[in-house]
Amino acid sequence: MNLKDITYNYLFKATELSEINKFNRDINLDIPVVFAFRSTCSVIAGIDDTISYIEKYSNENSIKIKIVETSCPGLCSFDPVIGVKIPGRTLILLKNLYYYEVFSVFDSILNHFLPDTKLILAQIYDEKYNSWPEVPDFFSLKQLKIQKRNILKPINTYSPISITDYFAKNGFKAFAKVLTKLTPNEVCSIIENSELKGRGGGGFFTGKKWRKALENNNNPKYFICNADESDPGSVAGRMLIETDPFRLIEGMLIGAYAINASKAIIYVRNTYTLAIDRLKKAIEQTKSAGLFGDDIFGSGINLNIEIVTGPVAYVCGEETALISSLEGSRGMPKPKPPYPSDKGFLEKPTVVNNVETIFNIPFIILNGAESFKQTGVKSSYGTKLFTISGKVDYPGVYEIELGTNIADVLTAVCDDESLNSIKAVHIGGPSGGFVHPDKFYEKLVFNDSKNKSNDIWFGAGSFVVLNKSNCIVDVCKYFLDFDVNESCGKCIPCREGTRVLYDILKRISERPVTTSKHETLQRFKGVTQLEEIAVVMQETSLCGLGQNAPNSILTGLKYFRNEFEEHIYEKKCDAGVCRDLKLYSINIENCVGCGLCVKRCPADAIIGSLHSAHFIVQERCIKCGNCFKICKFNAVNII
Amino acid sequence: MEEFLKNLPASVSKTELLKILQEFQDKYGYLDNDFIHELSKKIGIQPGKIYGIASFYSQFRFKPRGKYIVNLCSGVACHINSSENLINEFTKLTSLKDGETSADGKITLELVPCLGGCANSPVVKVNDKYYTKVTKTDLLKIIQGLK
Ligand SMILES: Cc1cc2nc3c(=O)[nH]c(=O)nc-3n(C[C@H](O)[C@H](O)[C@H](O)COP(=O)(O)O)c2cc1C
Ligand code: SF4
Ligand code: SF4
Ligand code: SF4
Ligand code: FES
Repeated sequence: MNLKDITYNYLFKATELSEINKFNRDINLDIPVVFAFRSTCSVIAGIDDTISYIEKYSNENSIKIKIVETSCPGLCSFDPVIGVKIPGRTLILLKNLYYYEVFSVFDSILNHFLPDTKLILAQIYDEKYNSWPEVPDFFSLKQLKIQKRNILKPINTYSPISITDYFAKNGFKAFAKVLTKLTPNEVCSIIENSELKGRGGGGFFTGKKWRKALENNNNPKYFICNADESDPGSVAGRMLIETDPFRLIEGMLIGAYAINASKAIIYVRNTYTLAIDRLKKAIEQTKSAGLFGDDIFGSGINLNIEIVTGPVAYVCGEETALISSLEGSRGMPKPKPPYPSDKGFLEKPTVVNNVETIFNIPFIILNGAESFKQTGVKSSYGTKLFTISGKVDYPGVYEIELGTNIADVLTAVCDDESLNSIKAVHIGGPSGGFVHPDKFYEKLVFNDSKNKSNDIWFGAGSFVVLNKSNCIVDVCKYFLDFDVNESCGKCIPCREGTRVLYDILKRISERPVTTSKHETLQRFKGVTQLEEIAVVMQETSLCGLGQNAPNSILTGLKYFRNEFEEHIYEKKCDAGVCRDLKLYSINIENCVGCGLCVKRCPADAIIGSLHSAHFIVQERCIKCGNCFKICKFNAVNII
Repeated sequence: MEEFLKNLPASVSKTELLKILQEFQDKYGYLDNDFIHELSKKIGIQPGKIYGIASFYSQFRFKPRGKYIVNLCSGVACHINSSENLINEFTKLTSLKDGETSADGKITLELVPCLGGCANSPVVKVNDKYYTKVTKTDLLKIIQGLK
């Protein structure tokens, strides 16, 4: 049977897929099976070397081992994660398994001994098999318990690039249902009833958007997946594509059907090589399976999917800019209205949805809107992926039920020590802001910016944890620098505003040239200016980049005003990050002229002859602090 | 280059422009002037305009790049873990700034947004190889290894 026939029988004749249920087949093999949880993050951590050492182990010892490449569970601090299933025993997950550990670990495990505990993550309990003693159950880990994995599977034992593996997970059943049982109108209604909101930052109702495009009969229409994912600090979309490219395709097929589009386009940033590779393979197989093309399974529906790789510019994540980029122009935003659903790609009605939004679609279609609304809280149903990084012990991509509070998330991603030293969380990337510990009880929900009491806006889900070694002013400056570089320059409030804000921050994070009262006043005036400029930018910028660029500064000033003031008045950066605030000088009383600091100064900034007092030439000093550290006579002062 | 141009279809629409530029760069490493001029004739868009479009995107390069492309991550997680110090150190060791190539054509420095290894930040990538949790000492070793 060819793939098309298999697909037809499976989807429309409900044939048993015994030959397809790969997981069970693999797990019952009478040879050891290794699951390599391979995604970009684990590749970076070195999983490819680990895999080749496992192959080497297998060859050198003439032991047959089946290696299944799947995708990462999203717990990056444990990478590379490898699962080993030996006959008769439960699947055990090993963490931080670098290549040099492979031989000894496999020597143990294949002989039913546990390896070094620092390499053991967990096991997947299954009463059919003997469990490993004293190895925790994967689902009991706090990093898993905080999550509600609806669109990510907790652990992937399926191959992400095999359509038959996807079938074994009910793959394409939602699309088959749509094709045979539902009209586009009905599909739109289901999505409307689910109250699904866009996960790309805007939080707009997906169903509403689809409905508008459906009602517009200016054909041909387009359905676009926004996989540009340009927010620094967010990799959730990449993770989703690498994990389950078929689900994205299925969601897009449904979306395109719902609005009567004849073409679906995935716009993915071209740096996502592994995601693109898997997506291409998945598209190819979907096509061979007959799930898109002309007259899909005799339904009379023609639909094509194409993948376009974006040449990277942050602002291209904005939907109108993305459309300009697809049209071969510079990716600059356009004023809305007209909305893309009226006039989008090539002036035709177009729906643009985020990857994560689309991932929710198959579930809603299969299980119904009410079922989707079982998760989350009112007006924020479902889950959201957060990319958690910074000063935490267990960074990664976490799927969190909406309505969960920040404190609970932090407890799951930190051990006690780092938990106690958290100073703030920065949520939402360049458009987001700081959350003060006093607000950690707040729930993570969609937030229309009019609601001022809760100013937490999670955007695309970047979640960066900061501790006392991080400086709030510096983080603001980092995001503003990003905005200055990425502003497309089309409108003045954003182009000039980001620059002015950046300059003000730069000024207060550097030592003033003079110590005059006037200079201090200027620095202070900068802060009051920050607020004025921010308002202008929010109200007059064309797109979200300019409108939201001041958010970090505003929340920073609101909750950490003291840090700004310290920088201005005391010229002090407690975190020690703003080095340019410091002034190193040598106290001639204490200096014995040993010359040690001269040798250590990387900038040739210290002069003086042996046995007489030395001197620092400020213009040359790069504030590295070496002289302060090396001097045995306490002669170097930091002012 | 001639062959590349010859292989393009007779008429190319503007929506294909970025794809063509990407394909050319993948093959030859950067977009050179002659190519932009020839392409301009073919698709009827002024060279200046093509340049304007291409330079909007950070992927496109207009100068030959080195044998080793060193990507220092300037993403937010790396920044929080002091990637700035690495960037300064790199510039100190090689006198290269973002986008510059060493005189011998060996090393090009390109700062990039998040490389995707935030858990092990700061991350450095040289061609296809990744280095994680990089310290200044590691960086020196990496540079010394670029022969
Ligand atoms: C500067 C800027 C960058 C954006 N970047 C992205 C992005 O990388 N991915 C994304 O899906 N949406 C991004 N958006 C939001 C899109 O404009 C759009 O709202 C979204 O793709 C719609 O899909 P959704 O309704 O499914 O969220 C960005 C918006 C702005 C203003
Ligand atoms: S707000 Fe900034 S990024 Fe957006 S259109 Fe205006 S200049 Fe461009
Ligand atoms: S190390 Fe201290 S005592 Fe020695 S020359 Fe430098 S400042 Fe003076
Ligand atoms: S701080 Fe560093 S650069 Fe400045 S004088 Fe001391 S050793 Fe030299
Ligand atoms: S921020 Fe550097 S790898 Fe993500």
